[in-house]
Amino acid sequence: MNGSRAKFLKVFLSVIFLLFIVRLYDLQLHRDIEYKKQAEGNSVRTIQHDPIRGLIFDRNGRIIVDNVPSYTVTITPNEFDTKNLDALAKILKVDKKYIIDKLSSAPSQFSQVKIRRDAPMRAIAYIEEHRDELKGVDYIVEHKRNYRNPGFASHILGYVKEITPNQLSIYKGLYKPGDQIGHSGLEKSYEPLIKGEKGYSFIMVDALGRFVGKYNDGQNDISPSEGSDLVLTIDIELQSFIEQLFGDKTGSAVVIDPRNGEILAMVSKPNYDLTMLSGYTPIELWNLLNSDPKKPLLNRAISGLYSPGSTFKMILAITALETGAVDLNWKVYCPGYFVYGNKIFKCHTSHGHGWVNLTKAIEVSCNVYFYNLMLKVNFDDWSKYGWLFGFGRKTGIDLPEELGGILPSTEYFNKIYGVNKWTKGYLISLAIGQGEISATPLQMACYAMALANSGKYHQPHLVKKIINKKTGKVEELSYYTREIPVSEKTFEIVREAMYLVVNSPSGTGKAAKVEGINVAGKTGTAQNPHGNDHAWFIGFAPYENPEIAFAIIVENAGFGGAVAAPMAREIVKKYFEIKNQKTEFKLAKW
Amino acid sequence: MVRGISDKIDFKILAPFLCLIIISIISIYSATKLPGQTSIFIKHLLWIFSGLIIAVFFYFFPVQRLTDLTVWLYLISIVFLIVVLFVGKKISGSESWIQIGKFQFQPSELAKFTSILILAYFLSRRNVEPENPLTLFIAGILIAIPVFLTILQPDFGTAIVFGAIFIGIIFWAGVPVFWIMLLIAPIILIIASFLSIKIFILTSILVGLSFLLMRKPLILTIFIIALNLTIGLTSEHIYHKVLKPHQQKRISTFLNPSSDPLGAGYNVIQSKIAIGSGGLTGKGFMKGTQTQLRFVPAQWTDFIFCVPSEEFGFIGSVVILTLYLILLWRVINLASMLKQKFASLVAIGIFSMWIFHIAVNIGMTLGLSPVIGIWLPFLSYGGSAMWVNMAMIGLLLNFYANRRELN
Repeated sequence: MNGSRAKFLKVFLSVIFLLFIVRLYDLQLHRDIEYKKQAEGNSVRTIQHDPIRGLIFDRNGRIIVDNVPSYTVTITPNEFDTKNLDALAKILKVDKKYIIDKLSSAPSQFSQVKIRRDAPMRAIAYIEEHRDELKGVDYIVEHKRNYRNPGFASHILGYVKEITPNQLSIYKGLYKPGDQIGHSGLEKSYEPLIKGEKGYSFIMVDALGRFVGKYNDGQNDISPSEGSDLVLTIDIELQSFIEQLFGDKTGSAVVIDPRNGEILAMVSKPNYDLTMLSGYTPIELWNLLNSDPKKPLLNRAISGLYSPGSTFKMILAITALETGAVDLNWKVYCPGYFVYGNKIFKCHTSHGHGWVNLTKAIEVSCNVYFYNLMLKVNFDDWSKYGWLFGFGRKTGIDLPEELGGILPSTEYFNKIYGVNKWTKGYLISLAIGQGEISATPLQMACYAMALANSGKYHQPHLVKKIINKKTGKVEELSYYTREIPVSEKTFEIVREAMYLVVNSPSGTGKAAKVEGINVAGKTGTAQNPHGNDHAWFIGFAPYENPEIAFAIIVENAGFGGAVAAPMAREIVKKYFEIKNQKTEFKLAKW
Repeated sequence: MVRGISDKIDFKILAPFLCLIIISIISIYSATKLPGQTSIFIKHLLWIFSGLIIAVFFYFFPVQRLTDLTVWLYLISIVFLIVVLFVGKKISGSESWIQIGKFQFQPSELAKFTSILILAYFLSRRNVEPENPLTLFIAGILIAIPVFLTILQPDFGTAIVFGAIFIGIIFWAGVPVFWIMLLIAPIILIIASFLSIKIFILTSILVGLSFLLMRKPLILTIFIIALNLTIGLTSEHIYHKVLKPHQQKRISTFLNPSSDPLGAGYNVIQSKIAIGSGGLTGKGFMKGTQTQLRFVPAQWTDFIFCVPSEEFGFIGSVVILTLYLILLWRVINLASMLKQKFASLVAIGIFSMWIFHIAVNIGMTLGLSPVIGIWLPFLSYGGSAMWVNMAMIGLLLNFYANRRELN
């Protein structure tokens, strides 16, 4: 027919097919990698399997913390119908805004966002019953921390909580939103070991997100590995006993084994129940805990700073003896007060102690003696010995919140007040551990340990062993030990004086005396500008061959000998009771 | 003997056709291999085998008998198009199906076939002058009836197919290019007006130049250009007032598919991912994730091209395109070869319909043309279309076999 029209049609046909080939070339040969990635993202979904956190045992192998299943409600944002928001907020007992916030922070519209951890069983039942209406709402089984002794040892253990946006940016890549992370205590310091490794499985889903099969037959899946278990140095029986001993009192107690630095008990009061923080924590509860003037979340044992009071007199005594400033024959007459310049410094008995030497001064805690002694020693020598006994610096305990306290020196005062802007009068309060000096109960316990050991200072620690679940091996941890360069003779004098504090009729710490066990110690009163003074008692037992060293502080309790010393007695008694029980048990078993 | 067979059977049509049918069987099998959907594959096989019988029927059917029956066939198909408006079954927004017992069929598919026949029949009459405007007018009415009835369903996509058939046949019948330009210029400008102002201006200039090149009286040319521009400029108003929301959406998503990734644009995005991820050699039979995991909607009907393209890659895609090219090329040659005007026009009508279906369907899966729900010849699942296409293949082979007798 018409040849030119046939040609036109052939040209038209060729142009269309050429266009297709060019386009196919672009899609399949030029941009194929990009589309392959998109296809994989389309069809392969990654499911994260949270590892099981390691367990925490006490020194005797009793479980303190384990895990229990908990339901976490999730929402897939693109499937979720916002008209269900009210109903969901109601059954989950959260704010509508809480859910909206969680949804808006979702990294993907197509994958599940964890909305509410530790959802009540009734909510799960409701979701099951209303699956058709609650599109996009589902739940997964996770684990939450379970505390076998609720309320006990909470500060040491610390809490586990959903990661904050701030932490997410710090640990880039290691965590994902919705992950749990140790926020305080041992859960924080041992987080890398205890958390375990996340597992992933890769599944194929269809366009509706329905499970179709495993990707590559599951060969690429990574199974989660359990976190390592921690075996603590804590004796949960002793810990609970001391916590109960405190009752409603505010304060702290640290009990340490002077032979190796293992902490047997670390109490901080008031405390809080970790169970409340282990699942979902309503914001009101948070605010309550944070705004409580008694600061229950504060671990006083390592973050509470107190003046050491008279317990610090041994540092001055050691300084004087070691530098040869005085000996036991050097005596001071105590009339009950001390005058320096135009200032009067009081002793704690108005009638005075009469003539006292170093031993007696420690026994009766004579302030006047130490005021005089402070003027006889070099200030920086005193600072040096304070430093050697662990003051003014962190002990290095395996907890994240430790503070180092203040130990003044010439350099320190020059910095604070300026060179020559301060006088020796500033030092007089320091003689009796008051003024610009502060320490944590842990530092005090370690100080007691060093005195008990005649100078052996072990790094205090809470974790004895780590049980690696992957290898099945038990890893013993090593900690530092250092020798304080103080002569045996000096220690003998100071230790004997501390023995007399408890065991002499005129000693200030008589209340700590235990029948059959020789306790040595020192009372102290930390002046408190905000209220009643805090009562200190530090010590160790048995005197001859110490097995425990301790520091106890009771806030606003006044004189140390009256409140803290009797608690020390109970602690020592309990310790030996437990010890004897154990040996009896061992014998019986034998 | 071999010469005898190739004299009776046009292998340049039969061979690509059979290859495409085999590819179709493989693709539909892959696309429907999920519990509960295997019945689609079985039905597809049934459509193919029954369709082959129809093809054989049309291969042997005397062309003269067909010419005599054309008017009746056309009228019957128009009646069906009217009936479907009253008893039609709604599928994806359009009432285009008639259900008789368990059997569903689309009258519009039949109408495509009968429209080709009626136009060829009319334009091949001895007293019809292709240069006469009255010829174009009557032909226009013959096609306007099915167009109007399918728009009422409403099935916009099929309505455009009638337009493509019409243009192809009148072009082949010798209607002056000027008249054809008059018809398609507004359509081109309407499409251009939806794309962007730049494209619209460029297209307007090209259309204007084409008219100027035809050396018609200047006043007439200016008038025509002005009229076309007006239509182009007012089309957006028509878009908002006349078109149904799902049609509006189809047009708007064509223009920017990523604007609505989970809505209408989703199809295009997913089909491009399917095709693109196929790479050079494809992911292998039954291994296309996009296909097997149902990411591509309507993958056994309108988006069937994605299936072999993903699983057999660029090589597979080019093989399919080559088969279509051989087939269509041959149809043009056959139409040129046929001395009888009716048969020649029918061949070109079939060519027009197929080239439009292929261009729009594959173009849509490649993101080159709007998502208009029309099938891909021989590959898509669908009984009515399969039967009509088979009938056309039978008829083309019939024309070839009787090419000497058809005078």
